[in-house]
Amino acid sequence: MTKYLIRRLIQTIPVLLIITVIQFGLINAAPGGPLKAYLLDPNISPEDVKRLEHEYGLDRPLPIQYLTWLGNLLAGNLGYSYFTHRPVLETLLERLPATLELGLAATLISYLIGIPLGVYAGLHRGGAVDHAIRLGTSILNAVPHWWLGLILIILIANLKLATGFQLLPIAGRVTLGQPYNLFDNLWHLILPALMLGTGGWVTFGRYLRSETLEVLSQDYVRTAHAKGLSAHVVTFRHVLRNALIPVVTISAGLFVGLVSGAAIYEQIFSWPGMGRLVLDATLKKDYPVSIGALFIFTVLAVLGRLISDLAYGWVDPRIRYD
Amino acid sequence: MTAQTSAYTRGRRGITAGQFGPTRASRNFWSDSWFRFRRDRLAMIGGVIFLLLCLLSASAPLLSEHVTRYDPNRINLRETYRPPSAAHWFGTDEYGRDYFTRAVYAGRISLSIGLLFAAISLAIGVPLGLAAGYYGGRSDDLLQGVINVMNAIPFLPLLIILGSMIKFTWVGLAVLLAVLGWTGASRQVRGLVLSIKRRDYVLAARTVGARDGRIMFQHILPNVFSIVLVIVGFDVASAILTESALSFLGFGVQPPTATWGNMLSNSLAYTTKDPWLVVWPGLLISLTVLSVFLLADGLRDAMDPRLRGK
Repeated sequence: MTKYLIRRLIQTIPVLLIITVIQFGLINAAPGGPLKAYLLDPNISPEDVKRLEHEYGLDRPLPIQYLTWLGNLLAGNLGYSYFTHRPVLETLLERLPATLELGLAATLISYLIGIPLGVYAGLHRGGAVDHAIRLGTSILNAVPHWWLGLILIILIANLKLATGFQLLPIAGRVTLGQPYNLFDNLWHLILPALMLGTGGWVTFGRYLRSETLEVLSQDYVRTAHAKGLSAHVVTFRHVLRNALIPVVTISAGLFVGLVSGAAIYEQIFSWPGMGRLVLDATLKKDYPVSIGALFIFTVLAVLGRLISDLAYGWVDPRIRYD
Repeated sequence: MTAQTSAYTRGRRGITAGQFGPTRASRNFWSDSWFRFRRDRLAMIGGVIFLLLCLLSASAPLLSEHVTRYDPNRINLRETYRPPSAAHWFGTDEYGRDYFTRAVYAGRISLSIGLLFAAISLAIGVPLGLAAGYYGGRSDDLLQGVINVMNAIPFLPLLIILGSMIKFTWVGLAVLLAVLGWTGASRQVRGLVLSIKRRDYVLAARTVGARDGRIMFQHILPNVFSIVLVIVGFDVASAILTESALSFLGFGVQPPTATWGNMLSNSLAYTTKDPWLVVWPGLLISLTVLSVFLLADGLRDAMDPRLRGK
């Protein structure tokens, strides 16, 4: 197990290295740059800009620049924002918790709605509920969930205008101007997490339905029935435990996918997370910040893969590491 | 039934069907698939809707000239924010442009991006998956490595960054999405090829001296075909969804060229004034994606040789 873990960790190194090359390429391809703005400044001559470029090492060959950049990266220095001049890492870490919070809540919602629905549909295959669930998830799969969020915002806002009743908060992470309280935060979390999590529970629901059907046809389930176990015990001990195996393995991937795809939901619901930071920074052409965020998302994705590979062996004793 | 089947099989061996008493016309792969596809009601509905949407998009210039009589980009400040009516089926937007005409033109772009994306990502992904699955070893490791790296890069943030550096035309966007998105197709094809290449008929083909290329394209590819169809459906749908999200955020296809995504992004400023502007593009995206899913599912069921006779 430890050997496997070490080997997998070593395997991620080339992946991360290639990705840093891509990101360095992006930084260099980005229009503008730290010194471009000065070209418009009448107080600074083009010669001054040349001199500054030399001082900052921007005129050295790209491979050298890359190695310097990589060294800084390993030391935890992702560069500085063109606008606020604050360290990128600091700026990003400030916004990361809000995004993780949203991603975690959405993952939780995926479990809470998707698992019961999928298992129920699988156990009652062909019934009215099964048909309703299949139809519903097919439709929900096709609808852009962020658009659904827009529609809900309009409905809630119009309800508020008509009756003065605020069903759910539609923007922000907490009520502004009030001291922080957990309930308020969770209350604000419901709608964005529900929308972000829709893709998750639809996926889980469909996956678990087919997985449950698969497990139900296994010999050990027939054996369990044959030896006289109650339907209840068979469902929970034999069917559910085995049907849930893929859920554990796709969880990490789902979480990472939700986190890095959260930008659009953060934008719609004014959620102060990293995705929205990327959008704002990119609009301002503040590339160190947005490319730094890309790096953080990448590290999360690589970690997520590692965790799901390990989780696979943990829940499924048939998998051995060697 | 037995008489018919035997006539059918004999017919395939070159003996004219019908020689042995009453029988129906012999069925080949295509007519057989079509026969089963026709009985799948949901798939037929999906297919008809998708076809209608394609026709509507293809005939957009005709439609705007003869039916709605509006130019998609013509501004008319006297007629802004009209609700849906007989004159403006979807109402008008903040510039008084006819929203239905714009939505139809937008559908041209969105559907084209979906189809072009699917075509390019298949052209890259299927041969790579086929070769990697068939040859295994080094080439397979290489492909898996490339896929690992690509899967570690989060697409939405990357697309946002690239979208701010390059002003995309719809072709450029479709190409970029395909260059990033072919891995799904190649991974699925590879997985299937791994199991198919151990089948007896592949061994038989090799025994009679068939070359690798012939085995791959004549014997393996047809058996991968049904999964490829599902991938096409999934690709078209996911490209339409990605394009709409990206254009919604302002980093995709730029106005005044209308796509469903940038129409939504535009409408966001007028949600209280005219919520219809938010409703229509989203409904069209959903309808398109749903019809593609239904169609692809139905085609898979109809063409999968393993499901035949069920």
